[in-house]
Amino acid sequence: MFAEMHLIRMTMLCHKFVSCTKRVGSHFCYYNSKRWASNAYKELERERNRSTTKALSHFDDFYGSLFQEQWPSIRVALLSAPKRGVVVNNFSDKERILKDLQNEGAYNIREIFEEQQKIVKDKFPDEVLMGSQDVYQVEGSIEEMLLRQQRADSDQIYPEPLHSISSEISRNSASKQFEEKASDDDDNFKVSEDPTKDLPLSETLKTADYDKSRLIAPGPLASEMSASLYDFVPATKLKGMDDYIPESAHYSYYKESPEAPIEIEPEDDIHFPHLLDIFAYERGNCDAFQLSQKGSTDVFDYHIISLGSLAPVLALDVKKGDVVLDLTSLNLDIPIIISQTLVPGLFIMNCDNTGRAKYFLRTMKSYFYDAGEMESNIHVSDCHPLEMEEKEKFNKIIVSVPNTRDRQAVTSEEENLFNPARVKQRIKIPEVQTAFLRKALELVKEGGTVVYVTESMSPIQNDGVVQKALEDLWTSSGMSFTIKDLSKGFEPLLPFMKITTSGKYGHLVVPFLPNNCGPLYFSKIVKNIEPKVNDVIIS
Amino acid sequence: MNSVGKIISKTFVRSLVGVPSRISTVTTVSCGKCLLSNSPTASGFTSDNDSIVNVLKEYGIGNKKMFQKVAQMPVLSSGGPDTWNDLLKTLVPFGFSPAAVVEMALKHPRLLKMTPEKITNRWYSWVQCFHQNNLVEELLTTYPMFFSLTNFEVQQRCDQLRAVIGSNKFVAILLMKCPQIMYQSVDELKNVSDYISIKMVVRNAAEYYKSTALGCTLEEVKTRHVFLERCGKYKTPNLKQSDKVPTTNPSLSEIYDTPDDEFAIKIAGVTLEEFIVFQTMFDEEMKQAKSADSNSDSDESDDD
Repeated sequence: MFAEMHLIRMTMLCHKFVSCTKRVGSHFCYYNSKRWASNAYKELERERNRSTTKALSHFDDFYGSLFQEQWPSIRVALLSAPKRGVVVNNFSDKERILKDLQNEGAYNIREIFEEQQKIVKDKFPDEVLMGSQDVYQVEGSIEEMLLRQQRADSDQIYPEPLHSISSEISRNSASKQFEEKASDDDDNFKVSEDPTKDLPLSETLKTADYDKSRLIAPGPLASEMSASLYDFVPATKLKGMDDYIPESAHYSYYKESPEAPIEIEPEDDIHFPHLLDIFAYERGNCDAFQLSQKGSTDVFDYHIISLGSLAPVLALDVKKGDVVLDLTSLNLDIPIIISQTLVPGLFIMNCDNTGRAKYFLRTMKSYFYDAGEMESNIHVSDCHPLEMEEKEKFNKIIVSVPNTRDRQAVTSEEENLFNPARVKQRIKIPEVQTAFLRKALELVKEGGTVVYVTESMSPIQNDGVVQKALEDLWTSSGMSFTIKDLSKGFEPLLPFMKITTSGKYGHLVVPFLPNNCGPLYFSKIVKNIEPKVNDVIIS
Repeated sequence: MNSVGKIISKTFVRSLVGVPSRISTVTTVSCGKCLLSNSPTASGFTSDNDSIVNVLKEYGIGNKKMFQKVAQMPVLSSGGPDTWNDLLKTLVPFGFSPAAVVEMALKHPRLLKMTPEKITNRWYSWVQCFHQNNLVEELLTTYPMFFSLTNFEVQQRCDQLRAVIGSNKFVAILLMKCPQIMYQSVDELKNVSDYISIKMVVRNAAEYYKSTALGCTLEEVKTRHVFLERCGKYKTPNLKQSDKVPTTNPSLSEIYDTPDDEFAIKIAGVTLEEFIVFQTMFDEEMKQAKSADSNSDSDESDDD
């Protein structure tokens, strides 16, 4: 009877939202809808204020217009469990581990990669299979988003919709492209052109025009004139907005046409290191791997990774004896994959957080026993990435910059950049990313490779940052770079992850439920040996 | 379905007649009537069937196929003409046509085993719930197995459904669409209706009876709803908003009355493969959530 009463109460309240009496058997019950409804509202309110909800609604708005009909597929994958793989530890009982993993039904990606590579070479010598088409249409979408965001910003500052402001914004945006071309020195983040902005108040007062009718002279007539104090004085400037950065500033970071010559070359052959054994389940299989145990050598058998991390390491193409730097280690996936190739002459993991660096060191030690030479080949440093000075020493640099981490942003509240308190940090993140990439490009040797990695799908944090960094270096120091197009090279990896060409300069591991890896963007940039700008100057 | 039905009926005939299957098959197909009247192999059985046919003919039934069906099913003919007479005598006064009564018995042979008092009692329990004889008649003609439900079960389930849907007519429409609701457990139905009304915030009562959602299990309801929600195709309506504001959400009928492929492609905008993978993953998620809940409950009880 209780269950029945409860059902009737809940359903009636839910549908009608009125207090009601309902006869149940011989009982009359009174149901107070208000109390129930109030709790429901509170719960919904809490839900609405969560960072994950905010992130999701932001992505719906932004990525929905970018990916269009592909967005539902990506969205459902983002919100579901990611696909994992395992890196077999070469220092444990490798043969036993390989056998165990095969018995569990996992596949060795290296073996499949090599087989697929042969098939691709034999069958499609000149064709590009992976799709030269972009996964999204950037052209127009960012501009549209920028316009929309500018309107939202103005609405936020001026609660009433001011037609004049919105029309001014649209006029500004229409003439923006022209202005950008006209003046190279224009700052993208400049919001208003106020000539008195940088002057102190005393200086501004000297040149200001006073409304002298409003001045009250001392004397008997002062009381009569004080009536003017009650006149309406229109506001000329909003105080307390000095630190305010409009959200639209984030989108203005992306420019469609580069201002520096950026070469793009195809690279068809990708080498899979022969000592690197990574296992994963086949497409559509979402089984999880068991936690790793320690083997007879007292080190862990394998490390569980997010499978997408394999792609940037393959793009880095580490050769024997290379000096490799992970400029900003955010997690252990990439460092462990690189170290298990056993080819780098020296591998430095840099992490600006001392606590995290210690954790990395401790964990890395649990994967390597005292092997003398090998142990000394891996170093963990805790410098700030922008303070590293060892220029021209590294052959390969991988830079996983801080980013919005789209998958974490929609699933976890921890370190979520969509938290309202961190909005400023989020909007300014492309600047930080550009600084890190610039540093990596400066540190790498001539002819060396930098792989830029983010876990975001935003073209602003991806292509926008790559372009900006390359432009900055071109204008400031004349360095030139070549972007590698790896579309064909990654064909053999398609059975395990969905990789598509993203925008102009990189590739995107797109979340897709049967192979739920990523999101992960990576761009391979090679520093040209002879900067072209010098040739031009000499000639 | 039809072919399976034919095979079963032929098997019955073979067992009844006791002749090699090939001959009996020919006999059955060529002339159904011979079994009821002139077949020399059906001795001892023919007289019963004849009398059943006579009873049916008395009520104005002249459909030979119907006679044939009655003859083919021993369950129907084993009770003799009296059971048929009782059944027809009980149900025809309630407004059922004799042909409909025979159809009902064919669909649910247990009717012939029920006493006239029991049948009358069940009829009145349904009428008491719906207050409309024509609705009950239509419902019971389509689903005569509802006669086997006890009065308490009928009363309880109809009250539940009326609380959700709000009208007897709509309850009848819903039962016509998904009769399995009557056989679900009370908790299952409660959980499903709670989920739809509280989590999915479906406030339009018409949606409930226009779909078979209430007949699904909670897992099925959750899976499709969560999938659509994660695809961004289902937004939970704002409780503060009026329920008259139209939503862009697909209706319950579109969500729960479509096959998997149509649901994945047309409603969710993804591929069938993705939906199949999601079902597996979501099952796993629910199992983990359940085990986490049970662990936390056991921890709490330990603390106590």
